[in-house]
Amino acid sequence: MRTDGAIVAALLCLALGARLVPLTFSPLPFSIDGFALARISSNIAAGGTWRIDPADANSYNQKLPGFSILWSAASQVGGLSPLVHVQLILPFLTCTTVLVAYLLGVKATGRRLGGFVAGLFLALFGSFLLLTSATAKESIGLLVFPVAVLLFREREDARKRALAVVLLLFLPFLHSLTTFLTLGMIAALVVLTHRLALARGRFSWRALVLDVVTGPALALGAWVYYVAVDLPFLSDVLAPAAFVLFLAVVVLLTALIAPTARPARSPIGRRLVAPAAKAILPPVLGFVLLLGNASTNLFVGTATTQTAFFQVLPAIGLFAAFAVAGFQLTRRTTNRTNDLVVSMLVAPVALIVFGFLHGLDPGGLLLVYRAFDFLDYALAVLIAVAFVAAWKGLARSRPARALLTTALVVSLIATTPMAWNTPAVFGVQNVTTSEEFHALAVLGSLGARNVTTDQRLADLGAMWFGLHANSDLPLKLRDNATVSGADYALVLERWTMVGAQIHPAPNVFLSPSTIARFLDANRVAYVSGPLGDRIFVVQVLS
Amino acid sequence: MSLASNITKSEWAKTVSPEILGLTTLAGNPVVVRAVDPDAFLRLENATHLSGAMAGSEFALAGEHLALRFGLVTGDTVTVAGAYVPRIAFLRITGTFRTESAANDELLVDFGMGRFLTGLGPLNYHSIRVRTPNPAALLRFLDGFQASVHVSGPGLVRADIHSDPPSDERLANAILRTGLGGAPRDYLATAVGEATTSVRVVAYGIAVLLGILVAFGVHAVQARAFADRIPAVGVLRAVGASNGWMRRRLLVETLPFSLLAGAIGALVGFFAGKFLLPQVNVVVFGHQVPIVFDVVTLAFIVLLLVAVSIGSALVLLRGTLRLRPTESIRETIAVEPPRSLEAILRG
Repeated sequence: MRTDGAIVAALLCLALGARLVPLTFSPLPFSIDGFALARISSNIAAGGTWRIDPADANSYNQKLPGFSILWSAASQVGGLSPLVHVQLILPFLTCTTVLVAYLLGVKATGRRLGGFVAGLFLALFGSFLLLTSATAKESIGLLVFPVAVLLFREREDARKRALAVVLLLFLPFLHSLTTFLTLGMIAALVVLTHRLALARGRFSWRALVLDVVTGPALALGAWVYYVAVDLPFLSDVLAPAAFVLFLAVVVLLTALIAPTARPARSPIGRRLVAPAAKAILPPVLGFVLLLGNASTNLFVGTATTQTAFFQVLPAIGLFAAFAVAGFQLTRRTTNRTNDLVVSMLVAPVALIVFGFLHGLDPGGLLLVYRAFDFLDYALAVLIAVAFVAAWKGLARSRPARALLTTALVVSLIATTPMAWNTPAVFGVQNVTTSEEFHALAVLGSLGARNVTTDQRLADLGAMWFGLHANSDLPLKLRDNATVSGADYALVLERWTMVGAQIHPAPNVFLSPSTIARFLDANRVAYVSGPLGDRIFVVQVLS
Repeated sequence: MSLASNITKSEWAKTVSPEILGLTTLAGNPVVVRAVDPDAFLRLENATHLSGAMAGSEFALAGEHLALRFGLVTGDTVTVAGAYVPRIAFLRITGTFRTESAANDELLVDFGMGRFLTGLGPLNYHSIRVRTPNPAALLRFLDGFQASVHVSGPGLVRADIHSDPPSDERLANAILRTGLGGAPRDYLATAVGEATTSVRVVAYGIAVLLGILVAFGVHAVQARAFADRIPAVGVLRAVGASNGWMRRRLLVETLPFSLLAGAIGALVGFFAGKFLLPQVNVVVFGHQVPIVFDVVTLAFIVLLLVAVSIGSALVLLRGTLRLRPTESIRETIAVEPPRSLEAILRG
């Protein structure tokens, strides 16, 4: 236990350190959504109640109040600022995701090394690091969902089943996508369990009904709540055509996973891990799509794959190779985690497939990239299995083991730009600097009613300051159109270098002369920031 | 001042037609709604007036083909939905016109209605068409105006002024509302649309599709029949039959049966088609499939069936030859007993 404790402590420190890095950029939330959550928490603390105001810019987040209520309570108990301290406190929670990964890794491989590798992967893998560093509902969702799935998997113990139900009842109030995927994973677990029971002649209708009622059927409660509060995007999925497509994907994947309840049969003489396996197809397809998206935007109206992303691809390729090897080992052997891994893979994959087939539009992209990180726990386990197998295979050569370890660590570090340099890798800026925040505060003090700026600052202004902000200024400046309907504009000089963000569309680059002409034609009320990265608050005169 | 009004004031611009494009549906069919200045547009298109009034502050002019498609006449009222924003509008057809271009199948509306349906802001247009004897002056003007535009037209080398070249075709699309990037293609819809309008693609496509279905059917039937003979293969191999001998033997057995089955199947198909033809027309993607007797086609079908049968038989035999003779005879594949992952990883 002492060794386990030391490993877990080391992983926790590493994960915490990595998740505190965004504080070096700005003390403010490392996500635009974080401002909405902080505002709702602040309002709950001030008013003592949670309410949904359909006219409020934050109404979507008000309908998913789990994060805000918890943070409001925590900030009141700790005497913390809902806005300034959230980015400091949240990493202390989200770094504990490595605990779950360690547990899964040890259970899968029976070795501490497996747990360490799984924990290390989740501590540093860029995409997961980004989500668990950001102030977002999904950050807590990524912490809660594996716990719920693990508890449900060990549901023979009635206490664990009860705890799983409690978490599943809480999840709809935290994050809709997390709820959806968790219930999908649990449904897959139910399918696998009862398929095996059927094969062994131990099938019981009573057990099936109990599993369904305490698992997938809880989706009904979530659905009733979401319909009651009129959750946006729900109608997109529940529209007849989309719903039929979704059902088709679910039926197809259910049929595909049913045989995986048992280990795959391996003819005598065949190696456990082979490069020419069917498991290699999904990552290959993923890479092809990423490369294809670099030349033409597959999803209408969204950005193409950024050049900097390709620098991360070799590292992702290595992890994909590990994951494929781990998957083959897991499928062709008896082990304690096969059903868990399969269920944790199948639900996000179902959503990704649905995202692609539903329509190549921003909504589809949203489903695809949001669902991806729910694969990370399963990937961590598979990578740990493959790593431990490689470690054992290289027992006679210490330099080879050192090389293997170095490759893992270097590859993980190579993926961190996905978390710490999002403008280059994804074309999306998550950081809000203090200067930008103060500029918006100045606008509030000037009594601005209608403000025009880029999408990021417009969202921030609406979410935290309650400004009526629109995000079409970069487009109007680019098209030389008249800026009308706004009292003030917020202009960033960096729009000339990195472009103005209008997510999910590509950034709009403006020439210095365009900005200069706009500033000349109107009245600059406030300037901050260093030369080349100045922020202008402009009173629109026309 | 907008770019359009500045171009209109220029001496070198003979006709300037700023336009807003919207996509909508009428009775479930796609329709392009184009907001225009009617005088400039009709002049530019050399349009012919057919009926009703051709101008006014609020108008809806139907192209001749559009009117024909939907049975519209002057005075009719149609309901259209917003192109990119949730809007609905009722348009009274104030006139009809004829052009030689695609606009003949479009609905022209005033700018107010165009902006309402597309959500486009004041002074913004999706495209500005200019007739000028001096294209160079136009390019100079656009460059000096700092406009971010793509210019193309007869006698002009395509130019991207203060902007990157579009990544692909810019068409009336949601992107046009914001002018962001290129309008990406819906590859699947485009491919299906283009493919189904070509008789050759449809004919060969259906033939390939049917061929695949038939191949699957042949393979399934042969696999079922061959399953009973797997032990025999094992016995023959156990007594010394080589793989080459097995393949030759299989070919000799398969060839006459497949030839006979192919000929009977093709002839039965032909006569069944002839028998059904008066009552049942085979229509594929809007193209009627005639049933005619053609010796070459019939021979090709028979040969194809023979090839598929032989290929299927060889595939089945190859799978059996990979097994050990004992496995073939006992009909049980020797598999590794599943091992514990933990045991493997511990060593």
